[in-house]
Amino acid sequence: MSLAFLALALVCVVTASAAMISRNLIHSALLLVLTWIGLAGLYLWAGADFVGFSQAIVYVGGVSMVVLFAVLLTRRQRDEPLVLIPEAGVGRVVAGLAATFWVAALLVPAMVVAPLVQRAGPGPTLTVKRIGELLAGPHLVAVLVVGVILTVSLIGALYLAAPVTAEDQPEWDNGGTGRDRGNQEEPS
Amino acid sequence: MFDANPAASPSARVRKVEPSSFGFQPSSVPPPAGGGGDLLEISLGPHHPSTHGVFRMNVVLDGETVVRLKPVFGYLHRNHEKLGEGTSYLGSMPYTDRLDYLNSMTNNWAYAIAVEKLAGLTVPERAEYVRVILAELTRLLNHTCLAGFLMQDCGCSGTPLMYAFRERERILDLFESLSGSRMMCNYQRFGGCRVDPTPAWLAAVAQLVDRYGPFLDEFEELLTGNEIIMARTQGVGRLPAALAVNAGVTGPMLRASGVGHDLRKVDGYGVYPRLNFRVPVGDHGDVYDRYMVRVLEMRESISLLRQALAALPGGPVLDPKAKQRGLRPKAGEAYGRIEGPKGEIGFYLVSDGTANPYRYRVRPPSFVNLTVLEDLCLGHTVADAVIILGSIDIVLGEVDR
Amino acid sequence: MTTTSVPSSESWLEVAPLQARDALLGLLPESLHWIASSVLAIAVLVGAFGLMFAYLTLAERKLLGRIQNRPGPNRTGWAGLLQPFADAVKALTKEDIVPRDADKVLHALAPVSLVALSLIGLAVIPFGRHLVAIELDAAVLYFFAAGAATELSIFMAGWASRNKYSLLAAMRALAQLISYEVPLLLSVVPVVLVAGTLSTTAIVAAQGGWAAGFWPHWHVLTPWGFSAFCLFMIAALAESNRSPFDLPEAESELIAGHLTEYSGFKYALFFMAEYFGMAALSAMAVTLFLGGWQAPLGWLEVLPSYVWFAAKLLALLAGFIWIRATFPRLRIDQLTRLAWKFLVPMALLNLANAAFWSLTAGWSGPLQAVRWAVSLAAVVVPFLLLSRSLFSGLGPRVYRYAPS
Repeated sequence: MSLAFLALALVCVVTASAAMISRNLIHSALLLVLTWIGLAGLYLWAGADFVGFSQAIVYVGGVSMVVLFAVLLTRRQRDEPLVLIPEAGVGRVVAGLAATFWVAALLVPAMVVAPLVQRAGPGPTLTVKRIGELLAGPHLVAVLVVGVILTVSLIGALYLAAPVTAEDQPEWDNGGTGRDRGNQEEPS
Repeated sequence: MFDANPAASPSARVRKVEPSSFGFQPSSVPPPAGGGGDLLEISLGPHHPSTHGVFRMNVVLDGETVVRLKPVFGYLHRNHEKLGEGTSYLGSMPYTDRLDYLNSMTNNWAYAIAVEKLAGLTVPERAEYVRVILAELTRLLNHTCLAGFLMQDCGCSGTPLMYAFRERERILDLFESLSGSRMMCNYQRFGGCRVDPTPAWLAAVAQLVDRYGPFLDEFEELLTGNEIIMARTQGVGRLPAALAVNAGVTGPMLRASGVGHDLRKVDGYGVYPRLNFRVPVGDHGDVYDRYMVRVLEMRESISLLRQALAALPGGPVLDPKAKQRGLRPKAGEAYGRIEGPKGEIGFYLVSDGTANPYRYRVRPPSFVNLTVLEDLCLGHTVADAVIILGSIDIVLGEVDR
Repeated sequence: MTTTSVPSSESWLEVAPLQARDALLGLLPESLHWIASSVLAIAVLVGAFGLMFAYLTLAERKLLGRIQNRPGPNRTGWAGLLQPFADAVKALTKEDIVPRDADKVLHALAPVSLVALSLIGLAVIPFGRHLVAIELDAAVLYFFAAGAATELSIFMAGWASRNKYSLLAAMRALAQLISYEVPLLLSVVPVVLVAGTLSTTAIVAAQGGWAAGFWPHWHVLTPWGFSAFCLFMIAALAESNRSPFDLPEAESELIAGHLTEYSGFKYALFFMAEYFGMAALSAMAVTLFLGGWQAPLGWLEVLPSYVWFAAKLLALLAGFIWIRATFPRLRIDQLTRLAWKFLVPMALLNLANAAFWSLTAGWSGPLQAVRWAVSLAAVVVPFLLLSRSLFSGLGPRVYRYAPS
């Protein structure tokens, strides 16, 4: 079983690295999807079926679309090379080190403290019903707060992405086809 | 449409500019609504499932919205008008079949009227009625096909088209038994018609007319009230009446925009003044109106056919004094026009007294109606552009000549 | 095919597949049984659905033909029965063209991944009383997780082809997936809520039996279930890119959309995937709403369960074909509007409706009538209101005639 774990971990790490290295944003996004599939596989390996399948539905089915949409809509030329930061200034180095430190400070103790299990244990035998009861019972407040936060962020995204209002729209009809159109009164 | 200003600087937003040989300068492309995204330029056609032949639309898209559209045609150009100058008057008659190859009977008729005016010929009464019968059958045929094609463009997987073609075949069978050819009828002659329809043929027409009403009911039941059809076509491709008149649009397209102009009423050619029919008019000028006006016109055609069949007099169908071969009209000019299924189909002829016309010019309805395409499509999506083109009802044989 | 013990009380037809499997496994050493059984299940699924795909194409062409006043293919073999194989030979022998500028890896990967992803969902469908490839506690979730990436493959195909039509199709596919994944999942939730489980076998088992001896306990025969079934099938049409939601391959607009630059066998693979996806979603609909392999009436149980499943599946697939022959295509903005302004609110209201149904399970006598009335009203009233708002401003028109 540790073989399966190694294979899945390898898939995750390789695809994630490839996604970082790839110059083609679409390739990166698709590789990232593979990483998520690998993560879902890890959950399955650990016996958390529900989380694994949810991961696949939400990330592979939903988030990947959003990422691809964002890539397609923001890049003018889909093959133009990534603009790499020309030189690393002192400020950038400091910021990078600080970020690295904070992430490491969070992750390393967790990894050190956690006992490294080589094999999926018996696993919590959570049925879906039990998950529902937990979410609607003890963790209800957390679910509600997360829901509110997501709603707020959605509304914010909508506000940012809202189309330009009608008066900003150009008048197509005055565009330069040049024909004398007379007075165009719509009959209706 | 044809005045793309080469001096205007191409917008920086459009990266690739079409070869100028096609006359397409995406100048003055308005900035896309909403501000974001770059423009995508697509050449729809000449090989595209729904450009109705070798027609091409260069569209500039913002997302899926058309911000610029340039019709490109000429792929089917075959020098029709120049050929007419080198051919005798009668020799041009079969060529007119090839203009709008769905409606050869009305093309023949318009050309015959032009020559008859030029040569001062008269047409026997029976021939006039036969011409009305054939013209109205052609109208049924054309409008049925158009409705089928339009539904095909809307994305119906062939079902309405097949139903339409079933009826079209029946009409083509009638044409074949009368003229010897299904589509290239070459039937009209100067001063009448080529062959006299037999009583059996007239009975077959009466039978077809009787079953056409139920067919239209079936067709309409299937489509006219369909929510998707209404959602796709209502409010799409509005043609304002003023623009329609200024652009010279004729036929059902003009009437759908609210202008009740029908040459059958205006000119009163043939025996139309003696027949009783109405001219349906739309109020919105959108694709749905263009479809519905044609359906209503078909219903009027059925009534016209009934009246013409009932009133058909005896006698010859061809003026025996009218010269066909070697016709040399005296010098002069004439313009003959009729209300074809697609609009005003007209032939302008100048004679210098020889056996060939000095000038032969066609006024094709499809071509003129097509000029408003860009105005109709701007602001709509590609999917709409396709059905707007379908609702204009073009035949490339006529557009390109 | 996890059940190993063969129940003795059932007809031989019912257990024939199990006995055949046991007989085949008996030929192998004991240590290989676990893998052989899986391979056998995969082979049977791929074989059965492969054959079904072949004849579904023929059935589609025949049915479309009959609906359209024409005979359909009738030249290859008796009444055209060999047509699918002729098509396969043609597809295999055609030149495989890859555009010079295409992203070759993705271009080749897209059809393969699409077929694979549309097939793996079939693993959790209970095709008969004892016929399910994998028994999973979260089978419904697995099914939708497996199907989630199919539209990603369509995107890959569209993007990798380096064709503007394909690119437009890719964008449409993304928009369509985002819009229709939501109502698809939301329409399944009521079933899970009422059945209280995510396991497909348990959901089918929950639909067994008859009320008053003739009214099957199928979910589709309840107000909320009927509503959910309709929502599911509409979303399934969109998910499998079938008319009237075939926007990514809109023939009259985008030539063939994401398929424009595909030829030969890769093109055939796309078709295969479309039919597999359609069959998988229909099979899920049968499982969730139409009682799975349950017979509609008690005395009809003389036919084995898998026959009933196949009959229901084929009926749904015929419905897909019928719809394709009948409806025009929606526009992309209408497509998304339909999803967000009609399907999603309906599905959410339906969820509440199902909760009400679940809470009132104990009601009986006259209260049962009240339960039905309330549940029916909770479907019909929002349907009328929402559909009216959807089609506001549209309607038949009255035409005038020009004064002569």
